[in-house]
Amino acid sequence: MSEIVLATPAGEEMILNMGPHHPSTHGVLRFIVRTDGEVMSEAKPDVGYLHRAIEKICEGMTYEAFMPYTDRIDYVAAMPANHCWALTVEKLVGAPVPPRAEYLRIITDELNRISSHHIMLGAHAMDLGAVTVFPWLLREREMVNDLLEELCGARLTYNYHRIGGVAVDMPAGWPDKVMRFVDRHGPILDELDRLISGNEIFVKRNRGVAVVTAAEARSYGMVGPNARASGVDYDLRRDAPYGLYAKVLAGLEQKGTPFEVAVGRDALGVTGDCWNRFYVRVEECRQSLKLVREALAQIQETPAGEFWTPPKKIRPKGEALGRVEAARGWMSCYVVATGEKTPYRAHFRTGSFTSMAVVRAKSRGLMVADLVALIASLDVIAPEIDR
Amino acid sequence: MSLAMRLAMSLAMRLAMTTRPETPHRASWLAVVAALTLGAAAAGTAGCREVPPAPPIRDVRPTTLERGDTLLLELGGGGRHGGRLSAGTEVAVKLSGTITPVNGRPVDGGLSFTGRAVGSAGSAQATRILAVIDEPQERAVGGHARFVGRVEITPAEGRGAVLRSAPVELDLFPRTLRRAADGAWNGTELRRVTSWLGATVQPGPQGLAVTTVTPGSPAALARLEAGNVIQQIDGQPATQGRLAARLQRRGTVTLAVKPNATAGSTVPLRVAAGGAPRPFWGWVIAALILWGTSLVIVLLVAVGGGFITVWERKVAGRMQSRIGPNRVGPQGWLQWLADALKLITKEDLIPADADRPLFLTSPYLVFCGVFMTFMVLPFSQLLVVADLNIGFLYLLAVTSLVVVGVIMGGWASNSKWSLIGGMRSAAQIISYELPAGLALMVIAVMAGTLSPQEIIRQQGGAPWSWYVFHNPAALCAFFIYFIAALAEGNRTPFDLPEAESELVSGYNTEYSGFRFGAFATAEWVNLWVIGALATALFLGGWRIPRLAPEPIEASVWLQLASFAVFFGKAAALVFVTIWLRWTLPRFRIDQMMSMCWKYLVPFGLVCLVGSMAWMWGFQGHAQAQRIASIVLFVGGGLVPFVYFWSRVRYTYRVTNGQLDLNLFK
Repeated sequence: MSEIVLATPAGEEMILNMGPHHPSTHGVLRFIVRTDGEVMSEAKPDVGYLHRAIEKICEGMTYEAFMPYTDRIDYVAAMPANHCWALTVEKLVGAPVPPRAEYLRIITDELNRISSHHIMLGAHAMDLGAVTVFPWLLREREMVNDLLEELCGARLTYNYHRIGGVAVDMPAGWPDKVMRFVDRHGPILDELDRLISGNEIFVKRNRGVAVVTAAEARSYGMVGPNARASGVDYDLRRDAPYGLYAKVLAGLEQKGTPFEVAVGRDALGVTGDCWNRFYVRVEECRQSLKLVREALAQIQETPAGEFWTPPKKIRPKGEALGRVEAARGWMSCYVVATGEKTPYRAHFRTGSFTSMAVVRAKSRGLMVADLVALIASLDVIAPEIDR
Repeated sequence: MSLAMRLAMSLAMRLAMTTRPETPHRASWLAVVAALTLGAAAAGTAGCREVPPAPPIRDVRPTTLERGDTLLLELGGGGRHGGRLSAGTEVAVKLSGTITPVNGRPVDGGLSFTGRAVGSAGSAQATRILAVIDEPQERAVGGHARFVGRVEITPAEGRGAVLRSAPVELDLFPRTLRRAADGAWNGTELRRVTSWLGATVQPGPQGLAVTTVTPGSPAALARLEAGNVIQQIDGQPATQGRLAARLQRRGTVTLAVKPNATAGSTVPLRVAAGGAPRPFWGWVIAALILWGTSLVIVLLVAVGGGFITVWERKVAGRMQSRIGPNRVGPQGWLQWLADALKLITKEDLIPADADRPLFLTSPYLVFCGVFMTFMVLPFSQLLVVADLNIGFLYLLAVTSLVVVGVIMGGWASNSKWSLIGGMRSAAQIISYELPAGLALMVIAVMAGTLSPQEIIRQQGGAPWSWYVFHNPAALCAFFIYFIAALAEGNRTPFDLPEAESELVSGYNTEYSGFRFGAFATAEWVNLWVIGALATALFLGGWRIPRLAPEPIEASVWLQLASFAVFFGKAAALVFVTIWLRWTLPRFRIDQMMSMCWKYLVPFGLVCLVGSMAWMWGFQGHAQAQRIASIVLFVGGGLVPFVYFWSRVRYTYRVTNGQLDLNLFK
């Protein structure tokens, strides 16, 4: 960073220090912006303000005890991070997971994806000045939080997954409530489209802003909704299914409402621009509703049974890579075990970190207001970048 | 460009101020020039055609008249063409011709009143005729109207031939509040001055009648006696105001005095004036009164602004599925008081590197710029501080103060975010002044005046007689004005100068405590200004359907009702701005600028020309104009509203009312 901070800006340019305390840097991000009035020549992300050495902490903990820490990797969508850790360790020790737990994992993952996208959609609209979208989506998110609270007792950092299952079974009456939410949420998403996605000003602010082509997305290692908005048609849930996703997807296919991976397209926006990054997430919410509905139907068809079969003793040896489709895209965990109580090394690969890299490349020539749109559309979460 | 514009505006203001003298006895030079030109023409035509037994009318002035004014007919010398008219003769002065209310159909009509021939000092022959325009005749005119016709002098009894006539053109105005206030002020002054003079006077049909004279007083020294009638003061018609004004100046005052009401000639009397100087405490009191009134206005307006903040937060709360403020006072309606107290008691923080004087003054400029607009905003027929005839020009001029304050604040804070906010604001406000001004010109073209009260008077109470539905260009101008006003007021979707997600808080980032409060108050008060202005210009102001302005003026209850009408319309527009703010995203700066310069300004020009063309085309076709207005009201007002309402109902239906917040209970 120092080379930018210390360099005397040439001519009319000035250095703007955007963050870490800035309303639209979502947590503690920092951008060093070189700008001539409103037009930027460069915005350099400065990461590391929320670095808590989670991977190092992992080396001193047992496999089971690390589970709450994974909540803190991405506190907006903690379930998939739980899932990722559980999946990796289960792979490492070869522990079986009962189907009931697998279904619950899918339901909670998808509910959490919806609530995470709510934050992104609301924040994106709010950063462009449309404040009302945010409270509306918070209202909806509150219902997801209520559901997950009833399930596992926590509203944000769930600590729900276990090695070999989930912590608790769903309480009586819970599926009905989830169905009530699913039924209600579809029209709300349509209303969201009427309110903001198709809003003339909103489209004009986002259309063609910071277009990332599919090739660029691949080369920067962008994943998840950000990559799909650029036209990369790749979703782990469909292309490398884990858990019982394959079965749920097949069930949807049978019912004639197949799971469709939301991919950016030249509609109101241009493929790969901020509008597509916004709208891909709206679509993902719709698809997640389908998955929740189908998973709920299947879990109610299967006879009630175990939801957690904890492995006797976890002393794995070897290496394993587990990956899940988290809210911010493909999250993978790589663990090296040496037969100890604690892992030798664990590493998490997250979507936000790679997304940040694209900011510097795409910021040249953008306006300050566009930078705000770009950051919001990438949906970066500070703890997920820094861990 | 901006500086030149300001200069031109101030010049125009000065010119406009002088063209219509509020008090005729201080006739301005422009009126005199106009009158002289007219008089010369009159002398040329009137002199040859008829040879009645009166001197020709050489000049009629002033050409701009209000109720209660004195019309002065200057008579030429007798001689070859002229007859003789002895001073003191009662004559009937009659104006006959067409009276054209601005924007109305011309009506044949006339005004008649009693005049009196007055001679110059010491002369038995009349040189001028004074006629006071009293109330009942003025009633026939109503609002601002133009009179074109002839002025005729006939014997007082109304019988007999026309003694003299001359062509004349006059502008007739109804009595303004300002004039009434002048009268009241002059009355108190008169009492003070006449007590020094030692004489009491009473206005009568012939002049000021002296009722009592104190022995030994200056009046007695000047040989003024009870029963005398003062006809002229320094050669000008005698009025109480003029007497009061003249006696305060140093020097001598020449009074043309008749021994009594029936005697024919006048004698000049000299009074040593200057003995009744305005005492020093008089200025103090005057200053206190001014200060007090402005305090009342500022407080009332600030309280109104405070209410709007609470209202906005409540509306925002409802729109966002939350409750909004509901703790302080009944239903939270006193929240603004708590906020204000909090802000006032906060530390007034000044950044170390700030430009101190600029930083300290800038909130006040913004504050003044917004609050000064309340000088001319008409809330009802009488509730207006000053009905300036250049009202809207004044309004554009004073609101320009805001941009100075905003730039100063942004620059002086010595913060890059503030600076960007200040620059954005400068670009935005100066740019959007143009479309706002163009929309205003559309109305000015239609109304023929810039006075807010006059513009309202010319509209009707029913929606189809509002200016907004007058013609398609006016309808477009309304939207142009509203958009431009939103931009000038830094409201969403044009809140770029204080875009919290981009610039933290924009130009007021570094402000705290009371100074921040001043910025905030000005911003919310400005919301009211936007609504009130649009109401006055386009939406018929305080007019009540099926009621002319005159009966409204007569009744206190109708006054209150008209205030309620104005308030309701303005509040509806304020609600729209609040609603837009909590619905729309904001523009980017380049989009904002291109919207102004590529769309609003050219479109505003088109509207201006279109409106002119319409006025020209529909001139004299009142029936066609009325039908067009009703069609516009239905097509441009009712149909969009019904469509909008159906959309709202559709949304409610498909989201199941969606206010079910306790989904799981």
